[in-house]
This record gives sequence, structure tokens and C-alpha cells, in this order.
Amino acid sequence: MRKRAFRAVGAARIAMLLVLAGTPLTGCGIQETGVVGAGRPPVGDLLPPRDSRLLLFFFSPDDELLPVPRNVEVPWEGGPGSSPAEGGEASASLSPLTAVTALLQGPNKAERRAGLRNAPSLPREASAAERVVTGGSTVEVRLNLPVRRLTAPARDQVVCTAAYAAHAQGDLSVTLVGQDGGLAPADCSLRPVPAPAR
Amino acid sequence: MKIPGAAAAFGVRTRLVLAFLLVAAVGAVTTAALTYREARSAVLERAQDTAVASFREEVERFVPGLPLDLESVRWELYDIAARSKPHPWIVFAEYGSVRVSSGDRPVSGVLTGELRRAARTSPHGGFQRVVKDGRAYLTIGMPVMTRVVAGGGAVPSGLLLFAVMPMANEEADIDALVTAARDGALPGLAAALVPALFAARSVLRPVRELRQAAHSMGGGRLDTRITVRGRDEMADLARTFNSSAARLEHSVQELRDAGARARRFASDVSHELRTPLAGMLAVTDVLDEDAGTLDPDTARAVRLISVETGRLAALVEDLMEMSRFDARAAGLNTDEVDAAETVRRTLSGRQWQDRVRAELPEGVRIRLDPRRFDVIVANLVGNALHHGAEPVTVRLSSRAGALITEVRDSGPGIAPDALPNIFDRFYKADAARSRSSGSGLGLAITQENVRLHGGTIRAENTPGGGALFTVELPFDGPASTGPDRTEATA
Repeated sequence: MRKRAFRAVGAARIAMLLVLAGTPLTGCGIQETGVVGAGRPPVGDLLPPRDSRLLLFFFSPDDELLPVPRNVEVPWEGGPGSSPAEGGEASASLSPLTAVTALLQGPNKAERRAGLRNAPSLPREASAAERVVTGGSTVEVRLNLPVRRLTAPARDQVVCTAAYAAHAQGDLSVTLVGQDGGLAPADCSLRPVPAPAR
Repeated sequence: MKIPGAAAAFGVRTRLVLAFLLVAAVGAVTTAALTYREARSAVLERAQDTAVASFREEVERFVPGLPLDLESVRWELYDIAARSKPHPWIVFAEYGSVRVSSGDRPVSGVLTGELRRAARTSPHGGFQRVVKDGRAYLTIGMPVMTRVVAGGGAVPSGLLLFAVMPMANEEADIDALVTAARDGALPGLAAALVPALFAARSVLRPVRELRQAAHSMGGGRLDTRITVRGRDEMADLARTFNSSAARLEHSVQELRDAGARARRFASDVSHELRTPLAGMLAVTDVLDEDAGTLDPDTARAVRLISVETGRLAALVEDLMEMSRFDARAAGLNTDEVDAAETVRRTLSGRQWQDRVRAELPEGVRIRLDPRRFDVIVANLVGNALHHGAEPVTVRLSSRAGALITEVRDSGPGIAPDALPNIFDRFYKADAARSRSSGSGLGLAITQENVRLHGGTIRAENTPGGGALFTVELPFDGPASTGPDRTEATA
């Protein structure tokens, strides 16, 4: 009885020693890790210059609101030194109304191939875009459809498209006005974050 | 007493060496493991940092048109893969539902959902080590941001780029580290064996000396001492041992001296008594012869004096014999004799042959001191005749290299409580018979004589009543017996 107890104590002691000796040895080779953050994401200039594209906002298959550039042919308007981007004097082909109209038309073939799409509640009616009034820090978008029936993603699409069309950084409040009245002014949910200069 | 299993199973040397090796092993393994871990992290971190930095650089240089066009993007991914650093990687791009890679499959099996989710939701790049099918990969995920206008802020472009880089080189490096750690630890352990043995030796040498000294003291050499070295606990032990040994030697010497004085006194007294006794014996002999001419009362007194004087002379002779035994001055005068013949001569010399039945097998020859053997037999038979009852039997036999002499009487036997003391000096088995005919030294002298021959004597009561004395004497003399006797005869 006593001998057995001693034997048990001895076994426990040996086990403890083995654990002590074995602990540093565990984890030989390369271990798996979780995801480790690796600093800032890479920043590139993936969008064409502002004076040759419309910036539309479509949803990815993962329900992510993505800025999608669409190149447009812009007729030469000003003389040398006058840029269309300055002073908010955008040419008609780059106006917020054009952008909203293009958005309501839905993604083109190339964009559809990349899986981009409109929010389901956004009707595919290009003519629904009536007019866009830009004034100060707000934009009013008049739509020929019931805006209150639009879901939040659909409103977001229109708001962002109009905001980025009217302002380079999208820094404007957008009011949607439709057949059933207006909505409260809203900001685009996708705001640019400061990026390091090249 | 508590004896742990290890202590019982191994000697001190083994335990010391094991303890040393264990300490060395723990040290070596810990050091090796810590070094290994540091070196491994260094190797991995260098590879990871290089890969993440160069991949980010490549990605920032990569300017595809949006939305992605599969064919044109693939060629650019080949370019990024061609500039892999530090090891070749495969690039995977995801945009919307577009999946394209620089490898043969558009989607990687190594990338985890965890990394893909992190790249999609977090505003940071990220990497993850993945072990798949026993091979390690570094996977990097980068969500590409795009500036809205040149020099302005950036928004997520929806483009995700992943790199999958096998870490085969790092695995080889780390395996080399393990091998190096193992190859370094084993010689270290072997080297630790040397100090372990030295330490065990330094502890065990005093212990061995102590053991030898204790054994030597137990053998009677009380002057044994240990050399004291150093000032440690072992030296303290040796010092204590030495002082104890000195005290013990002193006490034993005092006892020996006292014993020797007592023996010398007894011997001197016997000697001094012998001379006047010889004179008295001569006078009483003369008086005895003339007793018939004296008046009866005087004659009885004279005869009593004569008998008592003779008894006193016998007692003094026995005392002197005992003194010789005590002084170890008694020697053996051996001769090869016929045992039966010797016993017969003893019986006939005392006119006992009619009163004693003898069973004496012929032809048993033994080397012994005839005079002392005569004393042994005569004392035993005389004892049997005086204290026991007839018939008395003397029987010789031989067994296992010893001559066995048995003397049996038919008396009442020896009282059980007297049996252990029967061979003591002046021990009277029958307290009532305080004045016996013997000196009280007969059995003691018998025992001394038997011992002198290297034999044994024992007394017992037979089942049929009567005492039985058994003497065993070795055939080849006292030389074959234990050390105490050889010391005594020396």
C-alpha cells in the first residue's frame, strides 16, 4: 500500500520532469498563425482622371458598395488653362445628372461580367432622373419615382453617385426628392480616408 | 523509515550522476529551446517582412483598369509573380465575381476564409502562416485602395490581391536549427558526466573511508582513525567519528584493564593459596594415618579437616585452571587418538567402568588434547553420577565432520530455569544443596575445554527424564573453527 503510494509519487515526479523537459521542445517546425495585420493597405490610382470618367456606385456579389469608373468621351470645351473640374462647371457629359442617369441604367456588359449590380429596389429606368440641383454644400436629386420606397442600399447608391459627381471627394449632403416627397439629406457612406502621397 | 523508491533502487553515486545529468539536460534543453525559438522567429519574421513589404510594393505598382478584365490582368499578375521576393509566390486577384491568378488555378486552396474575410473587412493588409499537407505557406492578403482624385483620399477599390509563398527554405533552415540544437545538447550532456563523476567521487570517498573505518573498529581495532580533510560536513563527520572512537577506545581499555586486574588477582590468590595448602595436605595426610590412635571425637575432626583440605586443594586447582583460560594461557597439546580407547581409559582410571554404560564404536580416530578430553568426559560423567542417577550412558558417534560425545543420566533432569546458566561459574542448579561435592567450576571448565578444541557443548533434558550433555568436537581440530578461538589460542 505504502510502496504503491511511493510508486505513484515517483511516477508523478517523473511525469513532471518530462513535462518540464518537453515544454521547450513542443512546436518544432513552422506553426500556423492567425491573421496578422501588416500595416496600411496598398494605395493605387486605379481610377481614370476625373475629367474623363463617371464614377458610379454598384454592389459587388458580397454586397459591398464599390466605386466603379466608366470612361466617357468628353468634347473639348474650355481653352488652355480652364479645367472642367474647377468651379463646379462640369460639362454636361460629366454632370451629376448624367451620372445618376447612368446609374439608373444599371451596370454595362463589362461591369455585369465582374459581378457588379444595382440594389434590387432600384428601378432600371434611366428616365427617372429628372434633374440635379447643386447648391453650396448640398445636392438635390429629383427622381421621377417614389424615393421612400427605395431601400437603404439603393438610396446609398444614388447618394454616393451624385455626391462624387458633384464633388471630387464626395463631400456633400444629398437630398433625394421623388414623387412621394423628399428624404432627409444624407452623406455617402463611402468616405475617402487620407492616403500617403506617392 | 522513509525510503523513497529512487534511494532504494540506486546507489548514491548513480543518484548524484543522474541529478547532475538531469540539471545539465534541463539547462541544455532550455537553452537550446530558447535559442531555437528566437532563431526560428528571426528566420520567419525576416521572410515574412520581406515578403509583405515587397508584395505591397508590387501591388502599388499594379494599376489595372476597373472593372477587372480577366485576360489583361492575368499578364500583369504574371509580372508580379516574376518579381517575387524572397521566394516565388503565386498571386491571386479577386474583384467582384472575378477570380484570376498567376498560377494554373484561379482560386487557391491554401488561402483561409479567415484571411479572405480579414482582407475584405479590415482596412489593413494581413498575412497568415498556413500549414497544409505538411508544408508551410506564407499567405498575404491586401485590399487595394484607390485615390478618388490624384493626391486625394482613398476608398477601397474592391480589388483584393493575395500572395501564396511556400516556406520551403525556412523549413529547411529551421530543421537545421533543430539538428544543431540536438547535436549541441548531446555532447553537452556527455561533458556534464565528467564533473558529475568527480562530484560523486568527492562525496563518496569520505563515505567509503568512514565505512572501512567503522568496519575496522567493529573488528576490534579501536585505534582506527580517519584522516580529516577540509572543513566541510564530511570533515565534521570524520572528526566526530574520530572523537567517538577515541572515547570508545578509552572506555574499552579501562574495562580491559579492570578485567585483567581481576583475573590477575584471582590467579595470584590461587597461587598464594597453593603453597600453604600443599603443606596442610602433607600434615593432614600424616594426621589421617594417625587418626586411628586418637580418641573418636578428635579422629572425626581430623578426618573432616583432611577431607575439606583436599576439597580446598581441588578448588584451588580448578580456580587456577580457570585463571589460565581467562588469561588465555591455556594451550592445546594435541595428538591423534582413538576416541573409544580414550573414553575407556577415563572411565577405568576412576573406577567408573561398572557404573557407566558405554557405547563406544571402535576405530574413530580424532586429533585432540587427550588430557583436556579426559577432563571433559570425567567432568560430565562425574556430574551425571553425582547429580543425576544411574544408569549413566556415554555414547560416541560421528556426524558431519564432528565427534559427538553424549553423556546421559536417568535422574530428574535439570530445572528448566537453570538450563541457560548451567555452564556459569559457581552456579548451583539446586539451591538447597549449597554444599556440593564439586567446586562449582566443573561445567565451566568443561565448556572452556570444549571451546578450546573449537567444539560446542549443550545441555538438555531428554523426553524420558534425565539430563543429556552433548559435546561436538571437530575431527580436524580447532583450526577449522571460528575466529574467536583462533584469536584465543594465538
